[in-house]
Amino acid sequence: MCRKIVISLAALLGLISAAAAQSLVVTGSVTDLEGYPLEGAAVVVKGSATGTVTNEEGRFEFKVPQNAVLVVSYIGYISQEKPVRGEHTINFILTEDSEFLDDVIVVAYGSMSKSDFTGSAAQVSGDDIAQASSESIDKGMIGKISGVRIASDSGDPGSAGHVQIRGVSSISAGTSPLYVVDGVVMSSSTEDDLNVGYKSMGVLNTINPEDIESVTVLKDAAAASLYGSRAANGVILITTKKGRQGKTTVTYSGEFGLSNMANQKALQMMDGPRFIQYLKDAGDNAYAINPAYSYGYTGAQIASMVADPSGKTSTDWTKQIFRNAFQQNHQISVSAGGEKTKVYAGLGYNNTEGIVLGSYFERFSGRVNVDHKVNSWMDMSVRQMISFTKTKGHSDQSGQSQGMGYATPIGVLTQSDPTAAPKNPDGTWNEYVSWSGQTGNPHLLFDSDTEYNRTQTMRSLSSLESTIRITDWLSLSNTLGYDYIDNKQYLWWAPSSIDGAALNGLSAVYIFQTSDLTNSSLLRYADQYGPHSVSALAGFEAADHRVGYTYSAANNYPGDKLNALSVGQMYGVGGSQSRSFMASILANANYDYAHRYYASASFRRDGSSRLGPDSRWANFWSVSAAWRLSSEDFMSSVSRLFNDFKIKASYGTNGNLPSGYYSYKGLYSANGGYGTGAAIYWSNPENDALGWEKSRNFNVGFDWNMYNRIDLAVEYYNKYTSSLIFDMPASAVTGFSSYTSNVGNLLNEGVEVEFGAQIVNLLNFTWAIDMNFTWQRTVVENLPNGGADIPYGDGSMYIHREGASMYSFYLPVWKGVDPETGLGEFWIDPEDHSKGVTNYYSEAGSTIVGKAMPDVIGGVTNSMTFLDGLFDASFLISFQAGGSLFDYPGYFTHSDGFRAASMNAASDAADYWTPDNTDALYPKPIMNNPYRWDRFSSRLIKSTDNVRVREIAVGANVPVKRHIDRLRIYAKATNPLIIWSAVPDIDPDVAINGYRTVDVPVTKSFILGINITF
Amino acid sequence: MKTMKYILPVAVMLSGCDALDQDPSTSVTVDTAITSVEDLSNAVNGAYYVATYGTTMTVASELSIYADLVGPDSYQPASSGQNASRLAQYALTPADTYNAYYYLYAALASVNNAIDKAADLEDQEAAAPYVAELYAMRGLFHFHLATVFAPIPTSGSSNDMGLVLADKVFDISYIGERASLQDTYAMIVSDFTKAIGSGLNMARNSGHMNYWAALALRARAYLYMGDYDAALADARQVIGESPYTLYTPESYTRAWSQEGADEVIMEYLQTDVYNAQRYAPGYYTSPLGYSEYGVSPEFYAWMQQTPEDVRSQMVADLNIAPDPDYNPGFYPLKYPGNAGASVRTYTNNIKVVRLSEMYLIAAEAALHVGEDASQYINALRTNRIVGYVSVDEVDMDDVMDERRKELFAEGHAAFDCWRTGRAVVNGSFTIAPDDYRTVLPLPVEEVDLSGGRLKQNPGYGG
Repeated sequence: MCRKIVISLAALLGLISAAAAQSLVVTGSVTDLEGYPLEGAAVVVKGSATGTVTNEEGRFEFKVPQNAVLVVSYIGYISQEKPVRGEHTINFILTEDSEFLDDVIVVAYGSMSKSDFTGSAAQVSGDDIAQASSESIDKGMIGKISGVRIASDSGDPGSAGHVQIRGVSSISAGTSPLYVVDGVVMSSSTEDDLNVGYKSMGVLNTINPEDIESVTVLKDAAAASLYGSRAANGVILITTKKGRQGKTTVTYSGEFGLSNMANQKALQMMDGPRFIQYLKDAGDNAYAINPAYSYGYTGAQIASMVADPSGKTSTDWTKQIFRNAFQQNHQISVSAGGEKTKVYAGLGYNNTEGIVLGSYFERFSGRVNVDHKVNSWMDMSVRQMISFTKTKGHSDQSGQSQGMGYATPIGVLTQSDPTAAPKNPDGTWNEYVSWSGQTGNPHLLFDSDTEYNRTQTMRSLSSLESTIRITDWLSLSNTLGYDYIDNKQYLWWAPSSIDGAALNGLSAVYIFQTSDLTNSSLLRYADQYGPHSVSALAGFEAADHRVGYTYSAANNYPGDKLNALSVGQMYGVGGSQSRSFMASILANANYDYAHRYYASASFRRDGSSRLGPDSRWANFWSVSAAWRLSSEDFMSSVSRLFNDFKIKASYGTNGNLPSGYYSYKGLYSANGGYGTGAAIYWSNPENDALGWEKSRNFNVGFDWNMYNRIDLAVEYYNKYTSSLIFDMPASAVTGFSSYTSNVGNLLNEGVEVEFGAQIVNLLNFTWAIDMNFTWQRTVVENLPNGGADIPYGDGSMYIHREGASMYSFYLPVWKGVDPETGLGEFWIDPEDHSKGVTNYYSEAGSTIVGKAMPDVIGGVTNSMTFLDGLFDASFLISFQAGGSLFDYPGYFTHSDGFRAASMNAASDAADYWTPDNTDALYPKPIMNNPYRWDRFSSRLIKSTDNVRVREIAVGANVPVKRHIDRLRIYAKATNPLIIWSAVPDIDPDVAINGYRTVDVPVTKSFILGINITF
Repeated sequence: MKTMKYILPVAVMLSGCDALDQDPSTSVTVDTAITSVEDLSNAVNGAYYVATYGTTMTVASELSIYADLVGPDSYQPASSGQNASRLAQYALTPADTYNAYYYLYAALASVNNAIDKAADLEDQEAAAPYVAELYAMRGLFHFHLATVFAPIPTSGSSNDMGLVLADKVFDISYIGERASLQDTYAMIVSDFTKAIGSGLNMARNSGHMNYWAALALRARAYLYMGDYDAALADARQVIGESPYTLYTPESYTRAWSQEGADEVIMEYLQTDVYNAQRYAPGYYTSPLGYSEYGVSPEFYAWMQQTPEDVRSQMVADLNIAPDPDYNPGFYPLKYPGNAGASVRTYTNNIKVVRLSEMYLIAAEAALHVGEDASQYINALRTNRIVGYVSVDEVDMDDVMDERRKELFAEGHAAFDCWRTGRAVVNGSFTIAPDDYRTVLPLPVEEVDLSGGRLKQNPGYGG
């Protein structure tokens, strides 16, 4: 459709041609690299008004002076000049203007000119993503797109990242966007389908960012509702690289780097002498209340039980657990193409060590994309990706619903005795460093072969797209996609390991397999009648999703040496399969009049096996319109200021499905046993009425280009989700803790601003700024049961309350330390301070003390080039404000003595009350503290407001003459610096729900790289 | 090739109609779950499976030793911050008791659902013993809940709130109110009585509620209610008519790892596959495990005063040579692990009721109703003490001491104190029978959800 392009001004002028003397008739054709004729290209005599326009076959014929130079121009292509020199036939082959390519945007089931798009979408180039992360796409998008928030469970390489587009549109159903790779919907497998839960694992990082051409984020209904039921959380379209016609290029890129904890102030524990003093004080304070609290010991007696009571040994276990980790990335890619066939092939290797001892991520990936023109009416494309990823690591908190895993980095860090030396005098690792006896030396625990958690993932992503051009305005295409993921997880606890001791060794293998077969068939129509452009598509789609897992485990191992399953004795087996199916019809139509007035509509009807027969089908639709005011006559007086100005609006619906495969069915599970007998039990209450979650989306905004140098786009969105799929809490008396139901409404609204400016544009220096800014809020609008509050989460620490933000923390409010007594104080009723304070946590009332969702997020990128592009530099700064996190590790590291018998405390916890330090930050420590000031309260809610440098990159394009087309060397840093943070000793990058469980904080890395193209 | 292109999507679309009906691989729909007596038998197993689900705070994990942990003789050789030591310190809050509540009610929901479905079976005669067992289980699970979340009737607590009674299948939106303590125990007795009278299996079957188990537990319920005539009658019937025999001094120490040992009327089965793992009493009583449940030095010393009593061998002095991995202390030895278990500390059947308890109930009830109690105590001691000489008379203190010796580490100690009006004294704690800490708080989730209808136990902020 983008081939139907307006005739340029030059061409119009050319129509008023004037014949000159010594002229001849020149004929010729204008085609693109693929040989497609370009209709409407302007062919003019340089320096004159003489010219013509190519016809449907791309041909032209007109009289020109013999010594003329012809200039051919066509929108989206680089103009070309050729001297006539008496030739009668002159053919032009134009190459696409890559600058202009950026303005073609990949959209649902196709692509279109960005200036013609009426929906809301943002596109990031693959290079920009790979610059930020060669490990995972999601990490590469941070801070680059308005309205998009990205967070990871953990700084471990290979852990899952979560992308949130325009807030949170669901409470209990999925909140992850839909991923579509080259037109094929990727596996809808959630992490739960693929992961046993000992440690976080991301599916997205099976895809090599280096193979990505672009990533488009579809935000509003107009952009996304063609994906119907799966579009409620937005859609991310990933387009991989294609081969290009012309010279074959081979590119090698390589990177080497180091990473470490981004915020070095985080996770600092008390040193040896400080810990001894803390134990003494906690013990004495406990003894004074009741000797039972300190096991009958005095503080001095307890303090003498540490590994080295003299205080001369002091080990910083943070430095023992976390390290400088090495990473490398290599990619070789080939791009080649002739008239009929274009090929892209890439082979990549990534090896990223985690910053926790012993952990790593490794990926081999290969991709081949072939585009072939079978004949004049048929094209075929085959895309095949295969990748193998391996990770090794440790358990983390991702599978912990409550309580802390002992053999996790945080577990080990808190329980290691700072007076114990890491090594014995003989140089071997000291086995007994844990203050509680439940963990061990991190060098033995993490960096060993006696206890580990490994994953090995294979993914194959295949697609075949065939297009038949029935006429030049009608085509039929079919896309068949198959996404297969095989994830094996290996758990090994040797008999001598801490976790393995009770079982006398445990080896477990979990095999998760998921497959997604998708087929879509579309009839496409596109035509132009004078100024009227019309395009439409209609088709159907079917998606078959299967997941299965097999588990086998053995224990009672003869020793640490062998860990194959056959070596141990049978311990357990398990397995199950699940399947969901979706059938859809879809249609879409776009109209524009002279690129001035636009209207679009789309429709999709989806049926899903995840819902009951009576409610499984639903319709989703959108309408949108845009008006390019800058094309109107009345704007001509300000045509430079309003170089391009378009307003747009859209409205439509999207849906969301329950994440459970069979949530609507009343079920008896056979997944149990009693003694040696089979067992079945009532496992799910029936809910035939369970239906789709629906959201209504409204979007309005404008795109404004000023003086061809400044771009400003502003959008307001309002997304109202109703019939929320909600895990309604049920009374345990019914036999169920919750059931899936459609209740409640959720509102997301926000304003997104994207600003770009070419500040300096000189040959020797260019400077551009790109900035995005989002204000957003997510409000719970309606709740069931007459709007009663719904507490949820670990210890009911969150609350759903009408009018309150999503992820609101609902906890007692900490008043502070009573300077007289050193005891902590909570408000009895946080909303009515007249009721006074209490020293006992159990007597404190709760209120909303913060929310995880920030009000404002954004990023600013500065890009510069020097000396005609010889050197370049860029840096990205991101910011957020208005959100909070829940400091789960802080619950253990600031226990006011409660955990003194088993854990060390954070170094800042040393500022506790003593008779000599009465204005202390923390109350006096008491072993087994009966007041429980440490329990979840506003003390653990910390602001995530911060400004941080996400990326810095500097590069040089080394001038080379022979053999090599391009040689670029660069250095870059990710997360190098926190410019400002409201809470300096915590890394503010935490999970989207604000629950800081992270064992491995966000990392910073410094990388050197090289790019060679020949 | 060309035709394929058109056919394939159409074929997928057509198959799509059926494909939209998918069934899980590990579950069946409620309507088709129980269509035979064998299914019903599996459903009975299923309710036990749920009640003993492998996690913290179930009747197969901490709740099995709850009364010991909160009782006078417990001691924590180590504290790993798990629920056993927190129970022993009376430190559980309403945020910590969900599992204790949930799994028993979930099992009750399965029980009630199966009772309903059983009514549709054709072969009612064959189904009857299973239906009777389901009623017996309903009584048992309520009884567990009542001892944990409500006071024992004879304790004289001013808290007279019982349980939300799960006497039928409820709609998912059901919010219950607590019945009175009296009605709660009335239902427990009524369910046992119904089971006893409707064809319960009388053969030994230690993992299941049979006729004798229902009778024995009804005896315990009557004892807790203060209906001593009824308690005595039931206990006597079990002693006189059941196929169980008392352990002997020779068999006593070996019985704990056996399934279906001579005295065991009912036990929850634990296997290599289905067990409470680190929350099992075996792991709590292991010096290499969590080591949160040991016995006090005083209790150990008291038991050792009678070395001729075989029960003195059931506590061990493991204050042995320092090994940093080893938590020294005095430990009960009643959880040695099932014979042949893969992980012995994880896997030990949980004794619900043993024959010796019937002798003790009979003795206690007999004292209350003015009958001779010594015969029961003599019979028991003869099988515990080598060279025992019978006595003519016993008093209540003798019976209570005998209970303390015989039933320690089996979930009785604190209940025996409170229901007889005595305080639990352990270290710094003195918990009188009317102390709010004699019962656990109802889970905060339940109280919050009820919108005020479910009353929290006093003292827990409700």
